[in-house]
Amino acid sequence: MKQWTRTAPGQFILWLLILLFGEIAAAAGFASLYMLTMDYYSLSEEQLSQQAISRRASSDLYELSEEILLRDSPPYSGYAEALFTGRGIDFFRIVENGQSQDTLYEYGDADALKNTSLCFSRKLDWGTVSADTLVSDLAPVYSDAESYTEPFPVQYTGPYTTTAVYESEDSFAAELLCVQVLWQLRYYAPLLAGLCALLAVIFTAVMLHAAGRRRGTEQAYPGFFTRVPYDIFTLLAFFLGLVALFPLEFAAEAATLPRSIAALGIAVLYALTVLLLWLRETAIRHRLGGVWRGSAAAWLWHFCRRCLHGAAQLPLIPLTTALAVVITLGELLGLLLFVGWNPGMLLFLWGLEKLILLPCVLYTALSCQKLRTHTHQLAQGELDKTLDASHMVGALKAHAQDLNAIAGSIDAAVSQRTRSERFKAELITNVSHDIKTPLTSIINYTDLICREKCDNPRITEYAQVLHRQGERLKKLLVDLVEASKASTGNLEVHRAPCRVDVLLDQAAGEYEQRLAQSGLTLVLQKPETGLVILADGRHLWRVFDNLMNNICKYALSGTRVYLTLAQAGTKVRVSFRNISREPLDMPAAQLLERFARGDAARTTEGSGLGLSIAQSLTELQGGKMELTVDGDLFKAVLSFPLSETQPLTPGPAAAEAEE
Amino acid sequence: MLNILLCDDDRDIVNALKIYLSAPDRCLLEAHTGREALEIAARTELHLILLDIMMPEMDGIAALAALRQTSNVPVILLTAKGEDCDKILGLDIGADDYITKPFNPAEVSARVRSQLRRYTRLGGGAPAPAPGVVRVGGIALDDAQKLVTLDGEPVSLTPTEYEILKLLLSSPGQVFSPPEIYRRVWQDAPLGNERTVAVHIRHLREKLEIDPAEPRWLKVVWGQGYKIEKEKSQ
Repeated sequence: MKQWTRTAPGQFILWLLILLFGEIAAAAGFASLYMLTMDYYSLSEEQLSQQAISRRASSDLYELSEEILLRDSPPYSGYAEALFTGRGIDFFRIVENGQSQDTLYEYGDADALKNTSLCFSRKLDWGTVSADTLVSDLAPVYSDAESYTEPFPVQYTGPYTTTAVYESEDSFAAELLCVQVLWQLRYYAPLLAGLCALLAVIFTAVMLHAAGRRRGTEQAYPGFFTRVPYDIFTLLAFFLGLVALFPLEFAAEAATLPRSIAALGIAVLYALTVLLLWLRETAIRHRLGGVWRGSAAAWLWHFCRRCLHGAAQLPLIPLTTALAVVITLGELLGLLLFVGWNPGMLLFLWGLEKLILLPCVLYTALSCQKLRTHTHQLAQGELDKTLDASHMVGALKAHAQDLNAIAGSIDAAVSQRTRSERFKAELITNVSHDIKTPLTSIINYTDLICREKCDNPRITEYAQVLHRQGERLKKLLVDLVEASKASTGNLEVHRAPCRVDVLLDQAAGEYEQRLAQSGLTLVLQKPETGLVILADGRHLWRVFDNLMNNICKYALSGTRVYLTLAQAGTKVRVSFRNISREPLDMPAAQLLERFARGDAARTTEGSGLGLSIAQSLTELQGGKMELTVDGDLFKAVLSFPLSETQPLTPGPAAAEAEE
Repeated sequence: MLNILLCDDDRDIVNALKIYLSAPDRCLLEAHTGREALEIAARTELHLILLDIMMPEMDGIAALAALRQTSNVPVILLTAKGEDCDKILGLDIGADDYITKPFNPAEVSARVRSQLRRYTRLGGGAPAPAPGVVRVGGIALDDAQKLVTLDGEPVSLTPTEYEILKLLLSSPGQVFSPPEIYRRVWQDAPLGNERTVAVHIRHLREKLEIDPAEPRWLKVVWGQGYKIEKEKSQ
């Protein structure tokens, strides 16, 4: 059954059933409504019959008076009489003021009509209702008929009665029959109307459920009208539905009941058909993905959006120019249009325009501000922040997205690099651990060989070479680990206030013996007052240690070594100056490279990492190390920002910081 | 007879250590894992343990932690891990000294001697505080006799060195700045003479420390001054 409703005959039959029950429901409903207004449920049949007759009579009278006014122009031609001929109605014309009929209409004078009374009487042939009763009941209706005072007063002055023969086929008889039938059906009509309406609704639901579907599948298919945009279709249906008002109007004005009923039926049939078509189409659209899709409004909306989007994609300069031109032209047009208005109104309009433009300008400014702030954050190295570009438009949005992309790629590159550097440092540390164990044995056993008494002095000599080189390897390993840690920053730095002058004294004291051994004289120059910087004492000592070590190794014997501490603005500068023993045949920058050595031959001990480590450690503590080579003069300058804080008072706290 | 346990998974290193440390009054035992070391320590009375850290089965740190539950025997960690954090961890867990590989045989001998002397002469536990004697680590200063001993052996100091050491020992853990030391030892205003203090301290360190570059007790606080390390209360 369900599948059958989806076939064309099924749909057609359903359609017919809906129309049939709809018609019946409409007819019964109208009838019920009519009976309700006519008091069929409170009055008796006789009263209803009398009402019907009087209504008929009143209608007749109206028609008659119209005929008199419109057609019975002088000379009196008897149209009114002709109208009532054969309807069992006698028609008299009474002119109370005694004027002749001819003069009455001679001038078409409305005043003359005020004095005119019309009278007609029914020739009654009613078994149960006597003629007198009927007319006396009719009397107040006519005498009180205000509706007839316009356009001219027509007064019924009765009672004038005649006993005329009632002819069964006239309009009065039809009214009575109608009353009789309605009276019989007065309780069934509402029931019938409800039942049929219910059936029509059910069949409509069934039909709508099957609409747009085919046998054996739940998929929705477009119908015949689906190509028409939905809103246009709806409008069309609405206006087509309005056409049904014409037969309704006709039904209301139809002279006879059968015609009226026929017109009503046609109107209902037509309206129902249009409504069903519309409902069916709506159901199909709904099944195909909503009524919004494929509507003209949706299309228009998308078109506008595409236009706006396209405009936003325009290069910034043409877009801005176009906007400025449009606004200017708009203002000009407004000025020309409203030039005649009063200045207050003009001012108001001008203010209104600016009020509308203000949010747009503010919005653009806000977006620019956001971009600016975000770019500043990027410049500060805050790469983990993302700019929310969802509320921006056009070039600004593209800019924001580009900024995010840049931040993302820089962030990725930085973290990748940090990771690989850290990995490298860890690798070097781990490898050095693994190398140290066999190296221990090498150093120890070569040492043992050296100690053994041996007849062959060469063996001792060779063992000494091995031992020496083993020791060098050990130093290299330690320096390598330190250099990798220092250069990757994989090192804990506890910065604390540190007296550079004290450190300088300590360093001088530590190195006095070695300097003396190397035949060097140390000249220490420092200001009277102490200078404090923020540094990690142990790392700073390593820097000093490496530089002093270099001096001991490479300075020319018999020369002076200058250690100078000075304040330069907000910087503290420590310079180490010495005369190189060997000619420095490389630029200063090259000395800083890892494994660089003052002597190309690499004969003296040392890893060549000392300066590189010193530089990395200095930078880790926020300082800077510069090397200068001027002939044989070698100069290393450390500069640190001067700290305002005083050194911690030596005591337990400092001791713990040292731990 | 002094029992010394050499514990390292590398047999060559153990053999080399045996050669270096052998002496008529010493009995050298060997172990190759932390577990073996614990077993030997459980059944033998040991006077010193040289313990490697990176070993199979049970590493040196775990073995040391287990050992310290029951024994107070001196332990020298002997390891390739030379980073500061490794040293701090080892000393915190209860090692008495720390030697990094590749080691200098003379240094190992010196540290072993030092630990043995302290342990045997002072009995391992807290030494009886003689009146007028200040003691930190192996350093003891007897002010009555004007005598300084290192692990019981007298050390000859110049009067200035003695005064400086006395000043530093008077408040272990406190950092004395060079001018302050100068004022209190020389009883004079320091007029650019702080360098002298540094030189004296350097000498003092060479006399008192096995490795003056990495002092155990007489420490340099760079950029601030000098101090005697406070002994960890065990």
